[in-house]
Amino acid sequence: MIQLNNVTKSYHTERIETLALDAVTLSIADGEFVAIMGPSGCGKTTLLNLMGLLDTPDAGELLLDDQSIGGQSDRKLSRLRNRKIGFVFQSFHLVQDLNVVDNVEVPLLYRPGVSGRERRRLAREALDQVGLSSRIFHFPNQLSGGQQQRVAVARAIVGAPQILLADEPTGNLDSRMGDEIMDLLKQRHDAGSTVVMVTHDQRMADCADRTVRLFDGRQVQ
Amino acid sequence: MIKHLLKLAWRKKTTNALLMVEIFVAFLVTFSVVALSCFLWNNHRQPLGFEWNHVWGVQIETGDGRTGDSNWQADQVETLRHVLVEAQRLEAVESAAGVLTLPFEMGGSTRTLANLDMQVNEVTDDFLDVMRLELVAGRWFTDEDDAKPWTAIVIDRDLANEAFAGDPIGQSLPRDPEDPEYRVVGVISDFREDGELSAQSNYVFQRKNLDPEERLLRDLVVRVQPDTPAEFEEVLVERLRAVAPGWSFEIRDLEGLRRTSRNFRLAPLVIAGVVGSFLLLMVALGLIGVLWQNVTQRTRELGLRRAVGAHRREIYQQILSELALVTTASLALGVGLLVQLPFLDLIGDISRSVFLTALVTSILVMYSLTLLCGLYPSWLATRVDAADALRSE
Ligand SMILES: Nc1ncnc2c1ncn2[C@@H]1O[C@H](COP(=O)(O)OP(=O)(O)OP(=O)(O)O)[C@@H](O)[C@H]1O
Ligand SMILES: [Mg+2]
Repeated sequence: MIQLNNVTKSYHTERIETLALDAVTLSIADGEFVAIMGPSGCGKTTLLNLMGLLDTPDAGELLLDDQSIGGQSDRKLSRLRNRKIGFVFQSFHLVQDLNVVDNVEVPLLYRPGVSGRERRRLAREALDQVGLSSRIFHFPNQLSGGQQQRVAVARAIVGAPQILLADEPTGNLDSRMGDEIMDLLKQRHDAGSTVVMVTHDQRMADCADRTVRLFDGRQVQ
Repeated sequence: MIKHLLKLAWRKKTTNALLMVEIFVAFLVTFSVVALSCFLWNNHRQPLGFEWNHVWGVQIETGDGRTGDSNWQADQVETLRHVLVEAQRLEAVESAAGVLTLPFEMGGSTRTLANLDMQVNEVTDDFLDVMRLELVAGRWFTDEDDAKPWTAIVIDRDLANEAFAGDPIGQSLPRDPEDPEYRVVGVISDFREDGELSAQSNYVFQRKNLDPEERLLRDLVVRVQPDTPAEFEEVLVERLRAVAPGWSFEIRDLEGLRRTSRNFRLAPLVIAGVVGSFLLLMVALGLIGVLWQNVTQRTRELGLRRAVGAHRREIYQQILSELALVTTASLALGVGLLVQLPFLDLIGDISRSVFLTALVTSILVMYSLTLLCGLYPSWLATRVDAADALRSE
């Protein structure tokens, strides 16, 4: 499903070069739930961004469904992101100027051939699944953090992507709200999705099938 | 997608309202400048109705301190006759006539009869030849108009159409019973004495038969042979002085008068053009600034859109579409306001076609301007790096 071979990524800023990922080789199977752990700055987000096609490796190879991602056009990569990947971020990243249901519809705007009515139906369905059907016309700033993250999860799943990438999805939430989000991710996993989640919380990581540990850009163990 | 963009635009109504005001004002200014240009250009394309090349104006000073409104003395009438005959006798002169107001002089008199505005001039019988007017019906003034109880007039086609339903020849201009009668003997194509840039207007030539009862003619028009050198001016003045002792003559250059009247009419356009361009430039810079800021403020949103599947081109189109929406709304307001003008009769001489041309042109100008301003900010928006934009701080 997701395959990284010797993937290296470094960042250059004014004379300093940071090696964020150093020859990481990793394979994530279809339907697997993988937690990624490691100290701050070890490259977790970088790894997730590469898997999510938001960034490209400097060296090494990334395969998605046995298809090499290297050298694809922006258009192709965007289409792949749209169809195959759903993101959940630590700080939600909802569009403040759109209400809940419009936020959830956003990914479908970039999927050709989905009518407005179909978008609305799918968005309501996704909001149903995260238990927010009663708040669809609220704006993000009228919701609690946990509710906002549930909207973000609805947005991530509205296009029925195979892969869910979550970067510290519970990082900004208290433990009760965090548990709610974890339950949603587990539900997706049970429904057959591949879930990759970055977390600092061992309790959360325990829910996963497997934990990948990073240290200074390298996979440990 | 349009609906989605409309919702976004509505949520940002304060910023967008400011943009709209800018675009709205710029649109009105553009419209004024374009309408004025169209108006002048449209005038420019119309025939002048006369030929001014190789025609010299000669201003007469009778030397007795009389003003233009005073009546003739019998001896003065006689002298003027001699002056005209003498001028025509010269080899280099094709024809000469007396006239009350020179073409391009911008001092013509106007009259309003039965709600019809018209410009009125008084000329002697040779004026047709000197100015090469185009007679389209009836005849020009001749001796047979002498000693008639009415004054012969020749009118232009516009006035003929406006004032008379059928054939205007032999008809009189509308008048009160105690007023003198003006009877139409002929129709000319046009006579735009204020020059190429002036609007069409109704014109009346009144026959001047050099009668001591009437007011002075102070100008002559003299058509000279095409290759006449400028030195002939002195010869002409000399010869005229010889038959009119005590009078003085000054050559008035029609070309110069024409240039002055043209500049007079172009000045408002130049001023409006300069002010307008400056304003458009300010609006354009302001627009780029606001759009730029707008894009930088929205990097997270743009990054998010990229992450969920928008490619660069879609981001580019989104920013431009948002701008196009705001522009459309402002222009709709502007057009809504401007179409009231013809109904309110506020635009005077401007014809419907000039109005529509100006409207369409300024709409196109505004769209081009705003989209041009949007190009760089939109491109900037496509450069937003999703990974950077979405990194939690
Ligand atoms: N855009 C960037 N420019 C420069 N350096 C960067 C950039 N993004 C990440 N880095 C550096 O790369 C390294 C890995 O960063 P990354 O965000 O992947 O860490 P992380 O494991 O997600 O940390 P955290 O737990 O704090 O989120 C860090 O040292 C970071 O400073
Ligand atoms: Mg991180």
